Amino acid sequence: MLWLCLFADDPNRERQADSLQRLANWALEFTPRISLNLPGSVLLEIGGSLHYFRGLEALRQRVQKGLEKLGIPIHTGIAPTPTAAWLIARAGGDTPIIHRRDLPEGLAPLPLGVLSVEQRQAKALQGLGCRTIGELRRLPVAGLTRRIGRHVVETLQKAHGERPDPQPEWKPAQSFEAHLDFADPVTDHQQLHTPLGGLIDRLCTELRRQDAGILRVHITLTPTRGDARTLTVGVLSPSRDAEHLKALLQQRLEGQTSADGIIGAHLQSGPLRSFNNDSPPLDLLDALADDSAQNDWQTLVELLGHRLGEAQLSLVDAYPDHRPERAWRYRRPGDSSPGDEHRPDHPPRPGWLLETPLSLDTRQGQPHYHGALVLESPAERIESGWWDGEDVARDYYIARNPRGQRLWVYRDRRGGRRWYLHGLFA
Amino acid sequence: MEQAIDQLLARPGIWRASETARHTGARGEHIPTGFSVLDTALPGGGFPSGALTEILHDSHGMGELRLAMPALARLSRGGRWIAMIAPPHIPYAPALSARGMDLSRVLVVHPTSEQQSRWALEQALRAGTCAAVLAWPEHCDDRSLRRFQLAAETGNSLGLLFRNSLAAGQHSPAALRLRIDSDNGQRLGVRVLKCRGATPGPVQLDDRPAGALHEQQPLPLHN
Repeated sequence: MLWLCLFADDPNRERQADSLQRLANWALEFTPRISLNLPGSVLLEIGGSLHYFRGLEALRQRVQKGLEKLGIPIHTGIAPTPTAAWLIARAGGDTPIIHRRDLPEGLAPLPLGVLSVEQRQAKALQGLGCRTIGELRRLPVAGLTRRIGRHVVETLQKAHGERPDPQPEWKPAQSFEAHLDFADPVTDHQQLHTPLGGLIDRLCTELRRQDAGILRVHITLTPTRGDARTLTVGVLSPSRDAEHLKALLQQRLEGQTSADGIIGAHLQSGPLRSFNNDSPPLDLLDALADDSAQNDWQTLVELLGHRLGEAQLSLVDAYPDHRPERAWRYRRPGDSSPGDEHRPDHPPRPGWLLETPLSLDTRQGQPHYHGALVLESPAERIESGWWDGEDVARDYYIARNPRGQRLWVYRDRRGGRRWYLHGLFA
Repeated sequence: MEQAIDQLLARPGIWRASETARHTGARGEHIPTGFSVLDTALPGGGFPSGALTEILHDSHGMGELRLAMPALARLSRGGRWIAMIAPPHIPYAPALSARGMDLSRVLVVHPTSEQQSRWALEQALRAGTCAAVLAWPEHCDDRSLRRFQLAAETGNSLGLLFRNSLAAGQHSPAALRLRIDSDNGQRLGVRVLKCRGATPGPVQLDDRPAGALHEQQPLPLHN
């Protein structure tokens, strides 16, 4: 086993964590065995990859090139134990230790600062004339444990291969996120294209490494004042086509305006999907008839609801009531449906129902709506609702006017026996 | 020979310069209108999926919804959704249900402004989750229509725009433009104004048994 440690020395913890995630995702290019266990570092088991990459030197060069491209300041260390690699990287030196037997000699010159000891303990050790790991190792273990604590002693033992040094394996994320801060607030959305395009590039690079694709990308823009706004870009089948996603994002950005400058952008991908370029779904309907359709649907409802307000979205249900205005209901998305579809046997119903019946003029007893109406059906008598005080007594007809509109009209059988328009056969 | 070329062009791997979409999931798919005379008259055999179709009519209540209903009923049972953006009146659930629509797949969006409507229409078309998106835009310039067309291609969604017949004189990027000429409840007179690869002309949709076009009858489903 041979371990490569990438140590990202960054006082900004948040940025460091982000860097480590990026590094770990990128490191999948070299090995599937990766750990984020030791603080501030990404550990790669490269022993199994040396043959593939044609030797350590070639691998190191590739890593170095990649790191330069990523632009994350990194110290590296290579050793047969994870902890030794970590200590070497922390020391900032990168002379690799290849064999276990070379560990004592290789680790000896490292300064005590690489061990996480408290200041007070470090001073005490310096008082004993200890400045390096090698000098520390010469002290008796019992006394050392008393002075600097069990944890540090164990770290040393792990580094030297005298104690098991297991590292929990890191698994690639089920989704991808990345963050961007702008030094100056961006007021012109045109100027967002390049940095956001960069985020999309990073996303697609990760997707390629993981051989995955995504259906959704959410980009949250943080303005200097007020609430952050999230734009969602979606595709129908898993994609990692950066140019396509950028084009979609650009369209989304076009309609967006904000008085306040944007100071940050956050990209959050939807769940990563397996990507198979060779076999697009043959039948779209089949492909979508799985539960992902439900998720996609929720995304759409969220997307529309986010901008318009949830109250502006609804489903329609048919409801078993003889009164036409009560034979349907709006329902909020997500609320459960009234259940089994009741289909009363009745004469044709119009596609459009008017919110409130429109009172019609009559001339010589004949109802008019953009001209005189011709009744085309026998009366359908609807008398109902006596039990709840909202009773109706009406005769419904299908009528036609000179414009060619087919209308659903009724004559109230009570009061002034007026005519009303209630629907349109659209 | 022509048939062979059509088959070739229908293959997903074939890119046609006339199409701006590069990423529609299933290019060249068509959704049968459910009226066999119309399906025969239209190349591809129905409404083009992943494109805009305009249905022009003089006023509401001319059979304009009836023309789309068999296709919508079928699509509502296909796993994706039917979105109605700012319908002019209440979509009457008993009628939709009687026409075979799966109501649990119909989303009605009530934007409060024309601008919101356009936005919602574009989003719903692009999302890929809607098999069809219906809208009644009041004013539509060429630029917004192109955006809708692009969104429909991206989401492989059937964009149905119901517009006033006056728009017939206006240029439109829609793949298909139909005008309702008349509707007497059973016979639906439709004119094809524009269709890629077909000659414009009138079509009388009266070839089916009268009952099948009658509101009372649930339509037969193809799947």
